Amino acid sequence: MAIFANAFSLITHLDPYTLNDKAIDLDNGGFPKGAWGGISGTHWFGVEPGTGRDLFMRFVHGARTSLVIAFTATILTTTIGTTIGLIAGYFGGWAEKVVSRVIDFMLSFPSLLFIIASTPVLENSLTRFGIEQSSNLRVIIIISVLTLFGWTFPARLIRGQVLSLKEREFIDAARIAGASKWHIIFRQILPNLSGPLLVTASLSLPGYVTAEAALSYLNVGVLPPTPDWGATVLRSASYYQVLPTYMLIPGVALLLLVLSFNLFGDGVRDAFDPKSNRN
Amino acid sequence: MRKTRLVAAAFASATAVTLIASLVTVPAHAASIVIDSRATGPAPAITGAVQGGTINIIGKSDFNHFDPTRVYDTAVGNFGRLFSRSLTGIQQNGDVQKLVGDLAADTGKPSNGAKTWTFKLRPGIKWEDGVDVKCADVLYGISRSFDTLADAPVLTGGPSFYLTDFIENKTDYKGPYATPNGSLSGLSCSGSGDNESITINLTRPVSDFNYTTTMLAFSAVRKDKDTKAAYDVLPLSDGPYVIESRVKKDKTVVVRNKYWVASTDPIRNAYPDRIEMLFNQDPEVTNQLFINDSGDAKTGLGRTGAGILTQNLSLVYDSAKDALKPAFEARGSYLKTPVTSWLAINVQKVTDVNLRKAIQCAINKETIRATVGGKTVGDYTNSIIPDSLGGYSKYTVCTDNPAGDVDAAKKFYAKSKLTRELTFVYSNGSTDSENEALALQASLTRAGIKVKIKSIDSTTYYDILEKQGPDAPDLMMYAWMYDWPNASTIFPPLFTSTMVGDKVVGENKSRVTDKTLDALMDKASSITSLKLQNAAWTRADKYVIQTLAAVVPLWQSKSLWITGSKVVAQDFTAMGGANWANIYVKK
Repeated sequence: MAIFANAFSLITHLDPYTLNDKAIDLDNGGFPKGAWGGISGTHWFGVEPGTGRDLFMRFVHGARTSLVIAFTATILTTTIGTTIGLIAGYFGGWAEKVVSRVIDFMLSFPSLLFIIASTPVLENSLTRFGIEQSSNLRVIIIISVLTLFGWTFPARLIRGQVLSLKEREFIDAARIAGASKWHIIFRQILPNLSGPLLVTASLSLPGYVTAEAALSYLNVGVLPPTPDWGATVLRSASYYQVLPTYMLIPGVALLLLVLSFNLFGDGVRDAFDPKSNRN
Repeated sequence: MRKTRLVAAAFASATAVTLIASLVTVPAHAASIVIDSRATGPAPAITGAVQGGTINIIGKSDFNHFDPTRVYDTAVGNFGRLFSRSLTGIQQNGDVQKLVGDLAADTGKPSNGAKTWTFKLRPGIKWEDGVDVKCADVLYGISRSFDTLADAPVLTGGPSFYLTDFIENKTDYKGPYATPNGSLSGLSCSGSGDNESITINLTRPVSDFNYTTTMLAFSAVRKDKDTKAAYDVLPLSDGPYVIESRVKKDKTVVVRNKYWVASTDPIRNAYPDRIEMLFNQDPEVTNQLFINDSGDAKTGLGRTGAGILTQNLSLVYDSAKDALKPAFEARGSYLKTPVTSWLAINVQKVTDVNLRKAIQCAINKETIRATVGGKTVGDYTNSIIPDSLGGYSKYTVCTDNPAGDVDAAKKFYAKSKLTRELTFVYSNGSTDSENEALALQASLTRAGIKVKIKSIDSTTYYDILEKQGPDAPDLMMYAWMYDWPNASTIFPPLFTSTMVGDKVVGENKSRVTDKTLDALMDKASSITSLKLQNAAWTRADKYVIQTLAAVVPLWQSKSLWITGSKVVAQDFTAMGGANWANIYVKK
């Protein structure tokens, strides 16, 4: 749905940004006209109070924002985490000690708190260098901070896996055959890690979706007018009494998305884990 | 005074720190104030009112100042009057509002062409420790405002620029801390015992100076009890209540002052026995408490009434009738205030007057007002003088259609040499202000004017508004209310060119440095006939809006709020705040 956001725009002739003063009651605090927050054939999810923007458009385009951030963060953390984990696990010695301590240190950090606090600080220091405050900058910042704290989980997992894999016979065989270290790491060990890697990635993706929504909810997420689910939940929360659909729709959608990714992750784990009971 | 612009529907939302005047009881229709120079205590009783009970104040932000010299906020001044008394004050009984003497027994006698004012002091007023309030205490209290002239001022925040501007100061007096042995040449006491008077010499004639003296900066402070900065937490009371305990930003309890005598006070009825204040409460929760009339909110009052958040408006407000719903009529209030809101255009950055006129035409007041509450926010206006003042005049700015005139805007914009993208800044505190920024952007885009909206952290928002330099905003929302009912407290504090410096611009958000306007304001201030003065302020208004196009007037605010069902606070002052003189708790 997120991929086809633009196609939806073509069907409904709407976009997530245009304000629509026809759909709201200008005298009464911009309250949507019509029942259930203005749900109609044109506005499938109703319109936003105050501005009259189409909520369905904001929903599909918002899904895009959330997923772009979550996917990028997942790919980055998995790549970085895997590389560091491989190096630490295979080479051992001081490299492993340093990496392990850093990972322990990062894992014991109250990361969400730190992300909330550091996002505006990071942005302010960037704008001081003449970089304009913009929604894209925010997206980059969010991805960066999520990555900064996220790489430790795959890194620790991979390190453990490598530690046990490198003692196995086929690695010894490769070593005796004169294979280079890099060949062993990337050709022999890495393919054997694809199972756990896919599992962590598919399980961390919903985590990043909720983290991104949480950041937007706490006002340190993407900037307006960029549509975003977390921001929509934030805006709608205060309307829960007078306009329940406004909050329910993005709330339930977020729930379903996270749930489906979690189930997907479980499925992947079942498929790759020989010990689990496949029914 | 600066009016923190509120974006919630209610003029005094529970979320906002309202920085408005100390003049509590000046009504929207100032013309209806009569002067009663011989008023004596007790205050006229409110029909049906009973003594006793406890009132709960529930809100987000604490009162910022209790030191009378530092109070410059309607709600605070309103409340501060319970333990501080100024030279004059407003007595209110229903719709009848009178200017009366408070610490003074009369409303002042002007002489020397209104350059000298003499107030006879009211005998029998005592401090909370039983000592008489003497003329020396009044003199000391007034001279404390001059502390802001010191190198390291302590008593900041008050309306001291009026006092330092008006009161004669021949000896370069800088307040009692910086010049402990000096005295303020403009003040003198005469008489003794029950027959004391204070004489105030001014730098120029001020024909309505006895309105100026309603500000709490004209209160008495006893020299031996002046604890400097600490006085802001626990002031010595000469009013009907004393502060029993106070934890800033958390809880404060106020109880009766046993030395206060009703017969010496023509203003305060002082019905409740006790007032308990609880701050740092979530606005959404507070809103629900008041709407549902539950718990302590039953005998409760918001810090400035209970402002209703935009999203909850439909629960209490009937837009078809433009009134409160019947269930809330008895415990609510919906009034027009003298606060005007406008869009300030930075004329030093938006240099082309054609672009400024294009903005005036392109603005869609309807959609912008809708984002912050619709009709309840206020009535559209084309002037920054409220309609209750003599200087108000109805005229057209570009168009009378609140939705704007896009074609006219396009024509002006075509003539403009400046076509770069403009920056509008807003505080990131609420969804309402974000929506407002979006609506503003959309309305200017209709005429092709490019606008970038920029959210500013709410803690630094007001600093950014007055900053000079490349980061200075092009467009920003602002609001103002007079300090007493005269346009002389609107234009000079907002558009005097000397305020615009290299680093900051004070209240002159439009950065206007115009010699013609300065001369126009100087001339208006010096006119003693109120009628002629008002006409001069109308000219200043038209000059700022039509000639300079430095602002786009949006609306004159309304206030909508409710209280608990057991609190009777029908005398809401039209400027935003319950009139504490007359509040009572039903049995």
